[in-house]
Amino acid sequence: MKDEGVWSRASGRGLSRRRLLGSAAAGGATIAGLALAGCGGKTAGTAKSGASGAASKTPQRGGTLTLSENFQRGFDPHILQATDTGMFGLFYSMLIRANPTTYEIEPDLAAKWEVPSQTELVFTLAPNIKWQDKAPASGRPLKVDDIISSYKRIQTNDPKFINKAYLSSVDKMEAVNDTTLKLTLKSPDVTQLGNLAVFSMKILNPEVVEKAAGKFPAAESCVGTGAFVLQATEQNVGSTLVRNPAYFKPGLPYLDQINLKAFGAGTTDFEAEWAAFIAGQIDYRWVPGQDSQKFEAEKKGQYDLGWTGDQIYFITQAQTQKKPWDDPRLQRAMRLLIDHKEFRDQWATTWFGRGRYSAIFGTATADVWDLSEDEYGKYLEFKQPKDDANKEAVQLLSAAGYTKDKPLKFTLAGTSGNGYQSEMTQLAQAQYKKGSQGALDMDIKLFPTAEWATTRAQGNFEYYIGGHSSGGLDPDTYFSSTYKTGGGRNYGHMSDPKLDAMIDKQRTLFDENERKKAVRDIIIYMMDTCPFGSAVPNYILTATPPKLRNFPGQGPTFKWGDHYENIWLNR
Amino acid sequence: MGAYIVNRLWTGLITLFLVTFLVFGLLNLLPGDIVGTLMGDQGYTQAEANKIRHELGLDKPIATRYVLWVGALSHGDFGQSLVNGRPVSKIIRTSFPVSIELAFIALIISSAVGIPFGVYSAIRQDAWDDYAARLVSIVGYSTPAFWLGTVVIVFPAIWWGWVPPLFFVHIEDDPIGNLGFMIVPALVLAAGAAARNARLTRSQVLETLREDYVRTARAKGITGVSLISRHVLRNALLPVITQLGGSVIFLISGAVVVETIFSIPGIGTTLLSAIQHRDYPVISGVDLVIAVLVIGSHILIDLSYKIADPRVTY
Repeated sequence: MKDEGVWSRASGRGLSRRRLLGSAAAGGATIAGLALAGCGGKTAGTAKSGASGAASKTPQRGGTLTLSENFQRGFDPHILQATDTGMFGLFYSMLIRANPTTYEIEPDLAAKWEVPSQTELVFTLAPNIKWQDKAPASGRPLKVDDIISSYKRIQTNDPKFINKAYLSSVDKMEAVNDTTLKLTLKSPDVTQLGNLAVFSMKILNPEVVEKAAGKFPAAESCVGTGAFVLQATEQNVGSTLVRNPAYFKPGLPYLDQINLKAFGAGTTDFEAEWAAFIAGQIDYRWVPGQDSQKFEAEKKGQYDLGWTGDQIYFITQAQTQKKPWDDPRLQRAMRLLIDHKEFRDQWATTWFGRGRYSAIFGTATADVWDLSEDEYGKYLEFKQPKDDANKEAVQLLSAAGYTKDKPLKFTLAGTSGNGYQSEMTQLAQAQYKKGSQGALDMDIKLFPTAEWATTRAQGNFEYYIGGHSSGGLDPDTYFSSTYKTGGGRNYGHMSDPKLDAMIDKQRTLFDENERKKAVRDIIIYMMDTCPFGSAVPNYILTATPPKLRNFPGQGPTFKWGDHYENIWLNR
Repeated sequence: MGAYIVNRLWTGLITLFLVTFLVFGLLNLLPGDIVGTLMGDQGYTQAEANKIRHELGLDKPIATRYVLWVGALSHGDFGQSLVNGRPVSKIIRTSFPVSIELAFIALIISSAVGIPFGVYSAIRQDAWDDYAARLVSIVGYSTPAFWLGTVVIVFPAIWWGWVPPLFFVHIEDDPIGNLGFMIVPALVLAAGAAARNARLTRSQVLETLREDYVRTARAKGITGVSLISRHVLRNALLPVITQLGGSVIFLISGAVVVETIFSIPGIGTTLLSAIQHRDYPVISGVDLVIAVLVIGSHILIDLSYKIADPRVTY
């Protein structure tokens, strides 16, 4: 049965970006909005400017690319967040993937796919796919069962397998024949196709998985079907990758070799990394926020520059299971007291170069799905000046029993894991104190990274402000993880049955206009009722040297290793 | 002397056990744990956290885990990293020699610069060059390594588009490249140590110059280089040697900042990363190695007194 709506158009040839983002195939797509070439629609300044601007030349084969990357967590993508597995695309493949510039879902291991009904997806594999020639796979052909094996592994009922939610709609997986995989869904779900393109959905060799027994520490345990073979790796030093001579896409990759260099341990030393880029020791680096405007002004002729959206979102959460944070008046007051303009123009500009308003999303999603900044400005929470919002907040606090003479004392939690997050917490504290006219009296507690994860996960906070990675760019990856009852990032345990129903409903809307409206309705509803608030998400300025062609562009969180096969060096 | 050595080894062993047990226990007082690292942004229930801890053996009592760890050590098994599964022994084997090398180069530089500097400053006491030398020493002593290291990388990049080599190569793969990589961080690390050596050498030489036997030597007509090298330095350098021995430990364990800035895959960055991720086996293993190093070096320093001064008895 052929369905109406976008899935009937999802025949594996790709969709236009606008349709993709508003349609079934848009769901869960790991699109980072990098758009070096610009992608139309509501993107913020993603047009490329600068040195190259020329039409593409014929790709040249050969050369070595040098970048910064430190593989610290081993090579098992199924137990890692999507933001930690982007570069695994160099050596692992996925069934389908998202194009970083057009946003279309495109073939990878699957050459094409069909949608017989709203609950069925049928994929036909590309020919000549072989595992890399490393034991125990030893170059054997990929089988459909290998893909099923990986997907079932992702679904393992073990807390370490943190990506199982991306396959939560899948009911059955069948190898129809040697080259055809069929997925049957439990119910219509517009997001499922795109979820298969999330970075963590890599296909692993079953023999390697069995031999590894859960530990993938070294290059020997890293056997994929990707364009590059991980030849050597050393934590805190770097890695060497070479062209996969048996790669199933003819003519690819263009590069002979990729050298990845580690800067720092634990957390990357951004200063050293940036200095190395300026000195030409590495071939690409995103521009630090504090240098972005100056760099954009001075270096336009030397680099291809572009602002790209990110998928990090900065929000506040109230611990609704602790009094008085279950009080809707207090929750709304906290939302109203945040000055988003100050966050955008001071904090985001200082640390990243640019930000925008969003009540929920990272900028890459916001640019496509969200209200515009002008529309946000009509709502009290975002309206400038803040007088009216602060006035209502003070009234709400007073009604809840908190005044200057009897303030609410609490601890505002944040993380000291990096400078921008600790400063974000301090700015929020200042805004709360100023806007509440003394009705809020808080101290700050900044947790180091390892403690922060536990603190949030266990709900050991009263109110916090912090950054999160969405894992994907479809709105549902934000909704279901953070705002739906029981969501993995719903640390404050908010629960709104009406909101849950709205979130569930938008997953079933295959008409792109209907879905966009539904998403907007959720955003507006949440501005009035959600216990969680927001700061401001950021953009990243990317700087690509002219010699680097087809570089997908990336910030610190989203890295398009699976598209490095298209990179070539203009020598 | 034999009895002395045996006695020192026994006390060293007891100290080793106490230190490692203390660190092992303190690890569990650290807020946060490996579960947060493994789960990332993903929330988890207490039951899920308990399941992970059980799989990792972290739900056993501390004393039990310590005994199991010591038992495994007796078979040469340092355990595996909780973060990426790498054997801890391999992690230490690859990172420790890097730190040793860095510390050794820094030690040579700090001694070669600091000691002559201190001697000259003492000889020229209260002259303008003595004041200048002391000022340089104070500046070197006061300048934090993290600042100096960052400046050395960032400002040349901005001004001249140049950075020191930032890509580590193993000495066995490329000795010249390795030395080229290590020299700048070693200089940064040596700056503070050289200043300390210079100040200590100066004060010791000044003190020795006032000794009666030195006055006697001068009265006999011995002056200049001969006086300094044959009569002064031999006594003045004894405390300096003691400090040099201690410097090695300081340079190794304190090099974490320099290692991080210059992306050196040594024991410091390994330990820092392990602490950030609460990778307990790696922390315990590195702690053991550092403890062995500290205790062993102090024993060796004590024994070296005999060589420096034959009058010393045990």
